[in-house]
Amino acid sequence: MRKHKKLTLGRVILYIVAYIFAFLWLFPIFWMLVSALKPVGTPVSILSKVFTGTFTFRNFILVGEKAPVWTWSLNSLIVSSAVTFGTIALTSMAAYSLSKLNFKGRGLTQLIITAGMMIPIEAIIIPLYQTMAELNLLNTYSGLVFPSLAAPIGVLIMKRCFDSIPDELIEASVLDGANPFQRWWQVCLPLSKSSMAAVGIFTFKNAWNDFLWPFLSITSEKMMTLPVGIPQFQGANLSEFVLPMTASVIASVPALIVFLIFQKQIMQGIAMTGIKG
Amino acid sequence: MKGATNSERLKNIIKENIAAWLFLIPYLGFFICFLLFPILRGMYVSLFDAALGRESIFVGLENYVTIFKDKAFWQSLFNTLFFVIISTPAIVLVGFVFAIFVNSKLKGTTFLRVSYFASYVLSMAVVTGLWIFIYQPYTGLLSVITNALGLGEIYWLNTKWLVWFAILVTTIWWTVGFNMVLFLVGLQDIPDEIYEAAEIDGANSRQILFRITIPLLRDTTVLVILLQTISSFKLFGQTYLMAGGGPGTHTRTLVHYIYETGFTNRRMGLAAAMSVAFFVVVLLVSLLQNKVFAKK
Amino acid sequence: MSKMFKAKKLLAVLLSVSIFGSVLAGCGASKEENKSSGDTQTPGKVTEQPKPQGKTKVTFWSPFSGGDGDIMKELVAEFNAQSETTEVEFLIFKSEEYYTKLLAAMTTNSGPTVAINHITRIKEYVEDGLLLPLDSYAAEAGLNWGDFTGRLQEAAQVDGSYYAVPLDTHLLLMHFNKDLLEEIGMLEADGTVKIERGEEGFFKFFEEVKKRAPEGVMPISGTSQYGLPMYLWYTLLTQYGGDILDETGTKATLDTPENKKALSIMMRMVENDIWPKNQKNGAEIFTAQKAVATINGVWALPIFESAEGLNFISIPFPQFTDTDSVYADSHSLVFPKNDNISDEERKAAMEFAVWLTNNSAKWGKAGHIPSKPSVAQSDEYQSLLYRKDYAPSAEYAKFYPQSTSIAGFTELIQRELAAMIAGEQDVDKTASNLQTEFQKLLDAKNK
Repeated sequence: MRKHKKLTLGRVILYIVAYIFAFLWLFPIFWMLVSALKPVGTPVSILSKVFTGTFTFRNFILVGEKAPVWTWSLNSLIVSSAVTFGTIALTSMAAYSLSKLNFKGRGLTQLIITAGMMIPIEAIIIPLYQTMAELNLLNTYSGLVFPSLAAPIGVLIMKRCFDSIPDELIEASVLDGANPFQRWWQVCLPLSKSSMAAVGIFTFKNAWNDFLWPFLSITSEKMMTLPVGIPQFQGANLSEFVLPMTASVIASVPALIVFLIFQKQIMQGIAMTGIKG
Repeated sequence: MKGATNSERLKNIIKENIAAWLFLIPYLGFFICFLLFPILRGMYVSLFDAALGRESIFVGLENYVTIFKDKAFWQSLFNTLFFVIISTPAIVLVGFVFAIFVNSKLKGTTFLRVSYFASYVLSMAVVTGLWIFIYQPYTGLLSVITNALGLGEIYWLNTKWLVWFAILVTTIWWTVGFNMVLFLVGLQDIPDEIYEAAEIDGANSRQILFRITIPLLRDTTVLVILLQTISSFKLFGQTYLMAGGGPGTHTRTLVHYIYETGFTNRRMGLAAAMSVAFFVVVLLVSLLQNKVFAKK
Repeated sequence: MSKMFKAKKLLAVLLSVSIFGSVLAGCGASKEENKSSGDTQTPGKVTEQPKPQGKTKVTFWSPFSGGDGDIMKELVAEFNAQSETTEVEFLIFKSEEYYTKLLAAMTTNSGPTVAINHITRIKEYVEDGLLLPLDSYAAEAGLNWGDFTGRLQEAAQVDGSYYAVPLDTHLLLMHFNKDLLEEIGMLEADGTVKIERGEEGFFKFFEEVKKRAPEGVMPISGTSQYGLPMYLWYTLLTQYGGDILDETGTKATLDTPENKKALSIMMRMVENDIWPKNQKNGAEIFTAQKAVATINGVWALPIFESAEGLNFISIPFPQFTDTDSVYADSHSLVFPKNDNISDEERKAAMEFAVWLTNNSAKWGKAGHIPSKPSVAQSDEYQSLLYRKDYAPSAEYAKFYPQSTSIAGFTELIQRELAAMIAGEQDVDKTASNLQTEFQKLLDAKNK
């Protein structure tokens, strides 16, 4: 239920500032979208040439003609979806354990998982590559999905979420005879929709944009994901900018759409009333 | 539990331990195979003079001695720390402010939410390409503005210190959506009833913000700060792609130097040693933060 | 409770998609096991591959993007159509990380049958035994090394064996906006550009351009970081008789009068606003007609040709001394080490390489100069605009000397030049930095 509050001076200023920032934030993206609609060869950094003159959708067709962009997009979609659903499932389970169950080694496990984020990917990429080569997982869907499932960030976000669920609620369900699984499924998960949506959005975006690992792993056209294939359109010597803009738009839009679909879920609150207590 | 005997209690503890591990193992399996193991493998390489495609020679701690004596290593560490210090408060704060905007029940909340977050879904290549355009002299967006204002050309990405500001702005623009979402999720955990009660008690917006909202966001804030710190430590793409680590080596971060050492110069043992050093620094900073923010 | 039902539904969906996902993943894994050679193989494991349609399959990797990539795709398609025995799968990988990928693949026997490699970078791979010598394959396929330019022949050999089949020479040029030049009265009557040889001739010309150029138009555009300053610098350095290291290959020769001369000429251009500093998009400034001239390589031609309303001319880079020299590199074909690739596949790859070098006139559309002078003389190539005018400069193309530290040096010189142009350090400091840092790189490799 949305209650629009009274319009005070403070609130007017709030409106102005919020909207100014919103437009500032959107402008570069807007410029990118418009540039993709210009004829090839247009100097995209001359604003007057970008926002006036001819527009065309030809570039998207051109990009599709030059390379199997749809195959790339499909691969990206398959991998990103598998990673996202897998991550939500795995991390919500692991975080529940770290948050609500008592076991020996809990603190250490959590520390190790968090520590996993403290090494930059560039440092691990070659050992990872060698490991995957030995496991015969190079150039496979599994090889693209599995490393991403190891990301600690989802665990941390879900753990914070579960930590904020009052123990009284859990204890109430224990009194009803709930076992750990039921406590997780029936009590914690329904209250964590917001966090699961956040984890889903972040995971999807990271998986969608992931470049370095897929780049090293993929050795055939059929397996290429979007970030690996798209640089074909970017001249190494950066002489032409419209096609790279088009490519950027194509590469970015799906992640944006996923966000648009799920962003409302982040706003789900916990209704404290109506829970058995 | 009323009336539970000792052996019943023990059985429950064991049951709980088993349950805990059952829940943990699926994730942990992937973590150990595809993250922990490569990390350990990489750390092991730091004891060798190694290059991809060549025989490795065991050198013990020699790599660590080398980096300790390497001025470039310390400079890149300093550059990285500098960025962590200037960026963490900034990006956390902006994320918080945007979350408040979005949570303020203004008209067009969805539009605001999408606007602030849309930049986050873009890839590194796209973001740096966009911002190079904005900053570039003679034909860039800012150049048009500064020339119109009579300021002439400002070389955002080629001037010492100014370049850090430019990189910071780009990074804020790109990543603030993440912090904003985490704060939003945290804000959702605060029930409306608390706000309603406060309003009935006559509290104004400022008081609600500082006495209710912020304290109740404590856990979220701690998480955001931790994640932002780690993320800032890993800075590489923006400085590398937009400024080439320059001017000179002014914006060469630790990850950049690790990359250059390991991949361009093919000294993987050295790079591995630097990665271990990186890890230790980040771990220490995180533990320090943990202590500072520990619940009393 | 409807909330519980929804949660159950959600999780059911999650689980089924995860299962579906892993099934797909499994399919992916087994699909790959049946793929042709050059893909996922563990070290030492050799698999019998069925030949698709009776043709030998060759995998070919390159870092070509944009126009280069398009033209090579056409060439590969042409080859596949005319070959009865060989089928080439062509893959393009991002140029910045291309060598990392190639290197990683070579160390795990998952590299391609044939790959593009810049000729200046082969030495370090040869030293590590990562590239196959090509002499026997070339002899069998009837490839005559003498058909390539002298410079290319030299650069393709390491210790007396050939390791690379050169496809082209690509070098630095200068491009001029004909309309603007004409407007300021500096275009020759026959539509060409005439700059007197020598330092003073160069600056006399461009000082005049600067004086007469319309408001908002710069004399020379050129991106002030990454490769371009390096190409310019090396061109000047070698024209003045300098180089980056001595004949032994162990001593850096950068704190020298020749280098300081080259660096100061660059600074003279920058400080006199002939080549304004800190440009990020030199080529775009030129296509937007905000520059009278631009420094760029042969590869820029297709872009300029497709820029609407741009009337331009490309000439060999101006010479400042009596020594002809220009920075160049060459895209060449190499055989990366891979124990899983059969001799037959290698021969097929050589067949492809030979065909490419004989048909590289089309490659000239990308601006590059064919590696064989005979191909450069062909009608097909000569008919391309301006190519015949600058093709002869391939004869004095100067590649980096063979060294295992070229990759690291490239990173170093680009960084130092960018800093110098930005005004952060002077010529002497730049020269001494280069000397110290490059010597460090060389010493590390020669330990």
